Amino acid sequence: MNKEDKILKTLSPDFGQLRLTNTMLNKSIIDANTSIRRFAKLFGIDFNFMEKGQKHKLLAYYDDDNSICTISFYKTVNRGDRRLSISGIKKKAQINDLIAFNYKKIILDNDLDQTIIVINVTAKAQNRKVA
Amino acid sequence: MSRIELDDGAFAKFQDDFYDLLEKYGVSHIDCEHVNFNEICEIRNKVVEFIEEEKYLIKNKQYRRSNNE
Repeated sequence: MNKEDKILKTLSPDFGQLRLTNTMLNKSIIDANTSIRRFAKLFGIDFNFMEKGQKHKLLAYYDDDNSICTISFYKTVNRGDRRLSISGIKKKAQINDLIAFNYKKIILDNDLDQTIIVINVTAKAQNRKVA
Repeated sequence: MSRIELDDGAFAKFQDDFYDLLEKYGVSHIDCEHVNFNEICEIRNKVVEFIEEEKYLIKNKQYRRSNNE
């Protein structure tokens, strides 16, 4: 098992993952694959019920420095393609990095809540510093 | 080869048009789970590169022409 797989094994069962391509990173066009769509459902976002052009945003944070980011799940206006964007990802990753969305339960004001953590699995596996 | 890159909006528009064109001619619905998605992306990127190179050549030709006049 490689180092990336070992890290993935430590994550919550329904984590989302994607491998960044040049288009994803530099054109900010990221298709929502099955694992991402399943992950989004955990937070009440179901692409099947989204209209073209509709967008849902979730707050998350990067695991390396706890900086806050926004994950936007949306359907494109024209074709209705299922996409997402992650704010600040260009500074946090490079082409071919594996990105995972993990979640953990926290208790906030006596309420159970879930928080999202964005992990650059490849950078972590390589002990590579990101911005 | 030098190129004039499409901006993000133009690229997104091109991608939509490109997928629509392939689907119009019989390719099944294109998304990241398409069985040949990687190949589709490679072809898309090649066409974009060609467009970007052409744009550079056209601009340079016009520039040279206007300099010679």
